[in-house]
Amino acid sequence: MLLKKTFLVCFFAIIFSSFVPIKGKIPYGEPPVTLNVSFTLKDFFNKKNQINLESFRNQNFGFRNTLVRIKNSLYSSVNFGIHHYSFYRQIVTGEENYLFQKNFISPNFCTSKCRKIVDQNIQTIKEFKKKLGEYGVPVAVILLPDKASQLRSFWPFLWKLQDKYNPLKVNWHDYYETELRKSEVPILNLQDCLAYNLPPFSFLPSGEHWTLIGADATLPTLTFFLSENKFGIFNVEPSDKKLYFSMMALHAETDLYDLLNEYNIYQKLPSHYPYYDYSFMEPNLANRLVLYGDSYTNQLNSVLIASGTYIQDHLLHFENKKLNKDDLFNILRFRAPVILAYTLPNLTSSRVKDDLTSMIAILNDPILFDSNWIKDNHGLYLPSKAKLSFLSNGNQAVLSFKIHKKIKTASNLVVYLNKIKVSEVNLLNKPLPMSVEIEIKTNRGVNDLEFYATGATTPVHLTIPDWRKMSLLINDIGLTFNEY
Amino acid sequence: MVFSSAIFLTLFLPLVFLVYAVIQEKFRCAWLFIASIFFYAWGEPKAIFIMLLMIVFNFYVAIKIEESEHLVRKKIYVVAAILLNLFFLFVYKYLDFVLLNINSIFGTSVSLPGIALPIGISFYCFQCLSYVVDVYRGSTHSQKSFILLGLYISFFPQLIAGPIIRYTDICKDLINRKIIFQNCFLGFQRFAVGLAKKVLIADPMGFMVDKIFSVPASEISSIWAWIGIVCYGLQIFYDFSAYSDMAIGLGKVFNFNFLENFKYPYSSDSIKEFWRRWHISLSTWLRDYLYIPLGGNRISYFRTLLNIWIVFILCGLWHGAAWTFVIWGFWHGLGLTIERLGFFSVLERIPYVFRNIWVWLWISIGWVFFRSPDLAYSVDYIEAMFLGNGASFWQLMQAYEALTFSWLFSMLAGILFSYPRINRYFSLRKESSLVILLSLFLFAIAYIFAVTSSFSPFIYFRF
Repeated sequence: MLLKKTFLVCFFAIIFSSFVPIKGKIPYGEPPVTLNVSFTLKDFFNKKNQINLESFRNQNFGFRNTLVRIKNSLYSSVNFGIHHYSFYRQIVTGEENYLFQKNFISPNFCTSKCRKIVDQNIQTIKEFKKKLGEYGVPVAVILLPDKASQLRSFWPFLWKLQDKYNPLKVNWHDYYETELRKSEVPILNLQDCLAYNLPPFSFLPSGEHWTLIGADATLPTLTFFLSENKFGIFNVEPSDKKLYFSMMALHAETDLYDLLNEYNIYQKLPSHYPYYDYSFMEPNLANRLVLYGDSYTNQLNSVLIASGTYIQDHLLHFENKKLNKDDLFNILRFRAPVILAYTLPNLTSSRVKDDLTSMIAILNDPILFDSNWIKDNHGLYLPSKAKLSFLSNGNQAVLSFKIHKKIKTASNLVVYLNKIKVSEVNLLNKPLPMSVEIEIKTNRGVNDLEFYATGATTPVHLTIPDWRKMSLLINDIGLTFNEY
Repeated sequence: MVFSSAIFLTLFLPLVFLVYAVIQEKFRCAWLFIASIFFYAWGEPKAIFIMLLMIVFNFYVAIKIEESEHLVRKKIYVVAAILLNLFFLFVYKYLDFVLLNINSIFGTSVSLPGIALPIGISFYCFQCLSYVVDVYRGSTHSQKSFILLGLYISFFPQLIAGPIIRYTDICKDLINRKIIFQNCFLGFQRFAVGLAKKVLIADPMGFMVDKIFSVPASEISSIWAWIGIVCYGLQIFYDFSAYSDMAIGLGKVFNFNFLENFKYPYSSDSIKEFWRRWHISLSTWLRDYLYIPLGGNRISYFRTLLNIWIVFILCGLWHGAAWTFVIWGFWHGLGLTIERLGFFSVLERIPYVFRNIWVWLWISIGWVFFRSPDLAYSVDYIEAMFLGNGASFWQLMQAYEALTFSWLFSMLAGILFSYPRINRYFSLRKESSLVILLSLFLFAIAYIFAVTSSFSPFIYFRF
């Protein structure tokens, strides 16, 4: 009986602990939600009160910060188990218990094999740049920093020795920089930049959460680079920064910022380490930028947005993702400059080549049919309207296709190129199949051809083509570009 | 309001319970009724009028049925009640679906009204139907107190995601509003276990399922397709059974004894047995109010099979107005038919492990239809399960985020607790110090996860 009573007391104690007010000022996190409940029926029926009260309650309950930390610690400790298990051989302990991932150190001593891979990567980057250049899209490369390269003196003893005495060691960042500069590929080495700008104590022996601070430290150089290369921004001097953390941020990151602030106060340095809060920053420019690469790009993405250099919608961020045709055409449509950003393990593996090769393959097949077209063995079915996009370097071209079938009501086929009408084909009383050829003047980059069949009804979208719902059956679509 | 949300756990539940404990016994039903109306109105302020209208209507019709002396008149009332209840269900749940299909088949362009589905309408509509039918059959008397009938239909623990409670099962509980310490203890303990099941097993499974089902089905490799669907099977079981546990627990706290809704369905050794253990309140409802009135298995062999198919296709439709749910019901009907056609006698001769694998296999394929956004996706997904290629780099990266030790732990716990052996140990020792401390610990952990996580509604809310 006593135990049952204890259970109930503890049960309610846990619940009522939520009413203990959070003490002190919340130094970081999302702007606190204020309780704004009006006792009107109107606000109750449009759920304004409910939403407000729930948001308020979700963020204001006793021991919230502690509970978030407990949860995150539980997750970290439980999940580190599998990390440790699967990457056990990858993690090494260096001097003063600094932890390193092996694959951030070993490429420094990988010579001939890595050189071959790196050369292939560089070759692919050049090819990619050339290919995108044809469509007016600039490309740049950013070499991302890593902890191992910054803390060479803390490497495990044997590697440290090798680093000191091995004449064959290669600095791949320098190698990339030299080779790409030769081919006039804009390149920024953030590794060197970080070494000069990183605040003290950013690398903790047990901590892995230096990356956001690292990205922040290199931000001025990065924005200068983007501005210098006219990548869509003016010269930006981020000011009045406040760090933005989501409520679920790992506590190690917030602790690290606390520590840096404490250090500044202790050292009587002029100001606290500033925090980001992008909600108060005005975006500097509306142009778009594509950030493509490995996991660290996540941090670059955060600081570029936090500093107001780009707004969220204009910074197209692809992290560890192979782009599909739609993604790539969108990038090209915006003529958004592409930044390729990788860390050392990926720079010295075939990852860069693989990523870019898949995109080059897409560019080599430069026609994209939108989802309105329905394909089957007979050809392409056109409902009342559909779009076709293609890449061009700005030449004249001839669009040709054959109309095999049409429904009775379809009277005309109107073709628009980039919203300008280029042809209208009369379909009434014409023998089928009918060949159509239209001369078009294309723009450099992505061009959109829109086909409208007048007199046809808009069909319900069907997975299986139903001839009754389609206006035309088109085949042998081809684009022939005139040579310069 | 979700049971695992901060607003329910820290405001609604303690407030309702404390006021309930403090006020006089005669006011407690009214208080629970008001609290339940508020609970529903919190999430569905506009739909509250539909529910109140249905309560009022069924309240009066049931009295009329009981008062009528002529059988014909009784029949008229009961048919009217059934039609009106089904009318509400049809308008709010199936009208768009029917019009969409009419447009598609006949090439018409009737505009869709786009009516939002009130949460829980399928559950309380079925409760209303069972009540009036039971009164008509004479299994129970009509309820003369509007508050008590309102409480039966709208009682917040079971209002929006079941279990579907029969009036005959709780009519005696409705008038007994004493606070019994033992029930409070058992109820809150059951609630704690349910909360833990939801946040520690169902949610991590759901995280993985969402990752895998976000990939186009044609790109999913075989192994990921299987992982995805097994995870979904566990997610839906733990999600729904967690809700049922919490509902049963809360019912117990307020002195209501709800029947069990799940009895280790994944430990079944045939599809027939699965349906005796899965969503028992729905399957018994369909048996008593649909299958048996259709003739059950008493007419002919062919008719029995036909009745099974009707019941299961309607069971699928009950879950949602989409062809995927119809096919899901059809799939289960097919499974039962195969067993009836002689496969059951084969099953009886093979070891339990293989019989159980048969159930997992059949049910898992069924879940593909249940989870997929459309039929084309489910066909591709099933193809991926059996003919899928190796995982692509992109797909591995997608899944990598979800593939954690905590997920593995939840998955193993999920499979382990799907079988009765370990559970039986705990359920026989509910009051032992070990189990009490364990449930308290689970509640503390689940509370931390529930209040610090983002919104995670129960799957069955949408039905």
